[in-house]
Amino acid sequence: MRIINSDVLVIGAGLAGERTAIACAKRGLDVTILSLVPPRRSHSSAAQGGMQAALANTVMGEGDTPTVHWLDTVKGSDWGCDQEVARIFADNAPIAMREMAHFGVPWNRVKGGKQQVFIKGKKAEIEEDFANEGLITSRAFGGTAKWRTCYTADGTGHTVLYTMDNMVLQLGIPVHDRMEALRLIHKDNRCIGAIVRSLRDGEIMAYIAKATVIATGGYGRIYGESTNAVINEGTGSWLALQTGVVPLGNMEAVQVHPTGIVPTDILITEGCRGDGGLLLDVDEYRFMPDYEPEKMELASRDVVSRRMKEHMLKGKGVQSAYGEHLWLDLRQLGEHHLTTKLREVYDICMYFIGVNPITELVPVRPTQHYSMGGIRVNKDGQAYNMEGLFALGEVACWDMHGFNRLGGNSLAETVVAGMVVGKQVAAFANKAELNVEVTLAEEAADLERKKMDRLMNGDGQENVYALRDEIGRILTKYVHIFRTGEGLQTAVNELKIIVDRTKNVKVRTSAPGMNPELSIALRIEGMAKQAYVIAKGALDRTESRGAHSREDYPARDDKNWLNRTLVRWAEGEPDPVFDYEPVGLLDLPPGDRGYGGGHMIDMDISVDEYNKQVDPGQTTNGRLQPAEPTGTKLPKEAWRAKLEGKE
Amino acid sequence: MTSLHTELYPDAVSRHGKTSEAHRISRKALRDELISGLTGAILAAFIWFHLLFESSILFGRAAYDKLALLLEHPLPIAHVAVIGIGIVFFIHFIWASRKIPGKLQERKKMMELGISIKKANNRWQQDPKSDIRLRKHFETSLWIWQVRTGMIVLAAGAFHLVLVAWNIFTGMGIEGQTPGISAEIAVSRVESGLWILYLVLMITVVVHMSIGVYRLLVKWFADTWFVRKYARIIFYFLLWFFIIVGAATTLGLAGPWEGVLS
Amino acid sequence: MGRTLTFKIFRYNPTKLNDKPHVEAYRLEEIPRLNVFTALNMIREQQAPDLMFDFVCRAGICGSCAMVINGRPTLACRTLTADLPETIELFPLPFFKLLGDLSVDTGVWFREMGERLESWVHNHKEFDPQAIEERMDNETAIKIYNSERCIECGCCIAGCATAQVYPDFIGAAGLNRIGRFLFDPRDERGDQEWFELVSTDEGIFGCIGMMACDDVCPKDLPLLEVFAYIRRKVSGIAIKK
Ligand SMILES: Cc1cc2nc3c(=O)[nH]c(=O)nc-3n(C[C@H](O)[C@H](O)[C@H](O)COP(=O)(O)OP(=O)(O)OC[C@H]3O[C@@H](n4cnc5c(N)ncnc54)[C@H](O)[C@@H]3O)c2cc1C
Ligand code: HEM
Ligand code: HEM
Ligand code: SF4
Ligand code: F3S
Ligand code: FES
Repeated sequence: MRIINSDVLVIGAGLAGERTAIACAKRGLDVTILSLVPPRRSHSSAAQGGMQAALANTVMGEGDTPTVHWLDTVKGSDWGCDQEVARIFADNAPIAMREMAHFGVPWNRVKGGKQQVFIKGKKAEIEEDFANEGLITSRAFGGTAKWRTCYTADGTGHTVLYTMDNMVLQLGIPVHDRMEALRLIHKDNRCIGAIVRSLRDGEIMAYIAKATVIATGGYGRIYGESTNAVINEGTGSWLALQTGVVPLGNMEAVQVHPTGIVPTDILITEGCRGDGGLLLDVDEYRFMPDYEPEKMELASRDVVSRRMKEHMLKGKGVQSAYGEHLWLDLRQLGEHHLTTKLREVYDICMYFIGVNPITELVPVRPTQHYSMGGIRVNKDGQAYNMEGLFALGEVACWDMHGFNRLGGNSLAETVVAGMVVGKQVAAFANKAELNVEVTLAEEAADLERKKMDRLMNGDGQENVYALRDEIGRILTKYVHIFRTGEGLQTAVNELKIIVDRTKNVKVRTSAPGMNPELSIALRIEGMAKQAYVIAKGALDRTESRGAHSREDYPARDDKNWLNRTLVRWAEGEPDPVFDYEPVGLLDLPPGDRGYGGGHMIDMDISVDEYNKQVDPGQTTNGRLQPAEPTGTKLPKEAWRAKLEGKE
Repeated sequence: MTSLHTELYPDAVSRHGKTSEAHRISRKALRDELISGLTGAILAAFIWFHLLFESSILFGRAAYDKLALLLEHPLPIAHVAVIGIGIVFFIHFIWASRKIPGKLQERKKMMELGISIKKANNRWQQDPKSDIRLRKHFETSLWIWQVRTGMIVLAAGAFHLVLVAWNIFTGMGIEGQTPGISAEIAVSRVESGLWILYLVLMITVVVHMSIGVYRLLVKWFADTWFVRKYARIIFYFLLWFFIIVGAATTLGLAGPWEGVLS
Repeated sequence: MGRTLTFKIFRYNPTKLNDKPHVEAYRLEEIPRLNVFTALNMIREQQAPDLMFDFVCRAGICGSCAMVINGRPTLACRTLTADLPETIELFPLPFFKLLGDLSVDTGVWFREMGERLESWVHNHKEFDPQAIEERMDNETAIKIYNSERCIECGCCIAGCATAQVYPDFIGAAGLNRIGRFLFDPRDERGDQEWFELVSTDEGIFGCIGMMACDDVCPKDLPLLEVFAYIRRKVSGIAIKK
């Protein structure tokens, strides 16, 4: 078996992975990046809308500060986030945007003078300050108090990823593409690398490193119907779950985006609504102001998706051969806007469904979009219970998103986390010692070889694609926008059976090389088990918070459920183990989000009492000690100063 | 961020300025391109005037002779031109053919691709309702035709040049004939069977010239107001205008249409 | 509707002993709004489990799925079968290294191209986390973005006859990449460096104006415009000296 050594192994070449690699390489470390696909094809490139950072350059962002951004993020998360992490994020986001500008991102810029824009669906005129001309501009996004989302037309993820990858090129960091990490090599809670399968020729290799970073993005494809790329099959979070000691956090927190197009589920960016797109029902009536008079189309995603579903349940949906949907109306934006600033959207509508958004309505429906949950890490990005393992980006539960992420916050998270976590990874790798035990790698590889042998030559009967479709169907049916105890119980029962059935998968072809069917067969166990923990976590959480919305428990329950779900599942064990830990230190006490309605069950202890439980509560669950003690980055009562206008 | 400046390929970009090898190669490449382009442009302009000049036969021999005289007296324009154009013709041939793939294998590859893309258009049904229509593509085959016609122009044009040079400087060994172009000689030459050659030369040179001008315009000016669409209109205009004028002239020189317009 | 489609697919697995390139036919009932992405997955799941092809975003934005469909290099994921006749021929992109069946290695080629052209902003300034960003006017930003939109799908290389014949030619995507940095005021590369980089037969003068790149580019990049700009810029530099 070939063994490849480096100081730092980064699994995943999306924004999060590449930014970390850059941080390490600049500190003189020898880094290797792995990716399923050439780095620029990573799913980060598909993000269109933009990245949030409180730059306050446009008039509509006047008065914006990291504190306001932080407030929006915490509210958006429905208080499910780690407020300290959200703080670190909001404070660093402007620096990250400027750094990306320095690296070469062609951000759209402020143009001085009068501009025609749309505010709350109506034409309006704003006047930009000439003093800010040429600085990075922003657009509106859902759930934000200010215009804060930096963008390059509607190719933000694309330009940022290309620029990031240019830096990787410049630093000469090797990227091994078409490589899939199958299993972590670890012993005694120390991770030393990963077993990797080449998707070019099927070769099994070991990558050994002092520090291993997982940045593999979301797991949306477990849902089948998803806006995610087809490679987002949860292979990264599976690496962690498989260890049996590293917990996944808040797996039930799955975001459904209001506007996936029908029928292909491709995302229409939130930027469309930010720029003035409206949601209409079967009568072409604009219904959002009735539900959300304040934010209208621009409430947070969980709320808009829920309202859309509610409205459809009232019989106001449009019936089509592909099921029920609503309309997104972009016509008033005009041809120029649609073919320049929203050009990708225009192309998608034209090519994939043959709808011309300049003159026609776009059919949309809420679609699975983002996974807030993932590998649970501390504020330095270190995985719980496992030294030498880091995670960041969408795959991680760093936890600035809690139960609902704001649009534009995740792309920004990848870059900010890359800076922050990357520094810690480098610090760790710089002082870490490594005794490579080749036998350990061989053992881990053998497990995978056995698995492959079973899949290819065993006497199973199951068809992997059928199982995959089944998992997607169950999740989409029962673990979506609205959840009920009954439905979730059905999902849990059915998924349990599917987890067992994955053991009997049989690959039909013995073709050498990458063998596409074998590749997916290797992933199916992870997909089934993750689907199971998503459903089980949702069943056990008897409240509604953010994207997790229970019809039988409609209230947000801060008394019992102001916590984070953690789940571990050791190999060979029939059932996963669930634990709960405090969400983190509270600065902004739980309160009303200002949109979404619903009622709350208040905490029965004071914020101080809650905060006292945080450190011990998290440490017993395996959190490693961060470089700086918990709470150092959370300025006390900053929100109060902000609300009282003292900042 | 101190050592961000890696130089992976020092040869690709060398920072030694004017005297470096890279600089020399770059200058040569630019010079080559300018030479083939400019000579092409000169030849194109020459052909425009030349074909218009020849078309005067349609107004009768007198008109033709008058023009011919103008080109020989008082200044020996024709004498200079025949040498000059001969040189330009030769230079153009040498420099332009550097782009023609030398190996048969390579040429085959290009042809195949050209044909494949061309055929592809026929195999894609186009939905007239759709805004995003597949645009037609035929420029690759145009280029192949430019090479093919270039070859014919090389042979036929060279023969013609020698012929007229001989004519301009000598009496071509004919008793009593003064050096210089005249309608009488021209017509007698063409009538006696050379019209086939002239027809072929005319068609190939017009095709070659129109494609050449089209590509020159796109290559150098596509980012100005002068976009490809307009270049294409010019291409069709040049092609059909000169084919018609040329064909009429051939008919004129060959007899039937001589002086029809007078 | 209700057509039965025949997909004629190029098959060859280089890792398989004694495998020879050949074309195999698969039949499929057409469903409304079927695109080649869905069709290929259906074929793989039901008929040919070892069929290799690449899709990532399935939304026309990542550039993974370029292939030659009925003779034309284009993105498979956004090609609707309704636009095609009943027989659909699928071939891998020519020029690039074949990994198997319809899958080719565009990634490595583009990576090498990026290294060769030093595809990054050459800037010796240190980043100052405290300072506000350098200004740039919005028109310039948009101009850069228009070239930056390239998704590295490789259609332009596959469609360009010159690129097939001269493997060292950086191709339309490469020239476009140069344009992207030429437009960028942050890039400190001087006239001489640009001149030496692009004024070569592998660079701008490798292009003889076949225009196929412009015709097949699924992103409708203004390729010819970028080339014309570069041509004149390069000549301008030479004249200035
Ligand atoms: C359609 C869409 C639009 C979006 N728009 C926005 C937006 O406008 N604003 C915003 O803030 N967010 C947006 N998001 C969310 C955001 O794009 C993602 O959360 C973010 O890009 C994730 O980045 P990442 O680096 O964590 O992962 P990714 O970019 O997904 O990268 C994952 C990497 O890991 C590799 N990988 C995966 N598994 C393995 C394995 N087993 N072995 C080796 N390598 C592996 C992959 O090859 C890939 O390189 C959008 C998401 C979608 C789906
Ligand atoms: C300065 C140099 C040239 C001179 C003086 C010249 C002169 C003539 C003359 C006198 C004729 C009439 C026929 C004849 O007398 O044989 C003629 C015809 C023609 N020449 Fe030239 N020629 C020159 C260069 C060229 C070149 C370089 C080309 C193209 C390669 C060319 C293409 C033609 C064609 C196509 C015709 C026929 C026109 C028709 O039938 O429509 N000539 N030329
Ligand atoms: C000796 C015979 C000739 C041959 C073999 C020949 C061949 C070629 C070739 C191969 C090209 C393409 C070069 C490139 O794209 O870089 C070309 C370009 C061109 N030729 Fe000719 N040619 C000949 C004569 C002529 C004549 C007589 C004319 C004038 C009518 C002409 C006008 C042009 C023009 C305008 C171009 C475009 C230049 C460019 O694209 O850079 N050629 N020729
Ligand atoms: S220029 Fe166009 S065709 Fe070429 S790689 Fe880029 S997007 Fe594809
Ligand atoms: S097809 Fe090729 S020759 Fe030039 S114009 Fe495009 S690169
Ligand atoms: S799969 Fe991404 S462009 Fe087709």
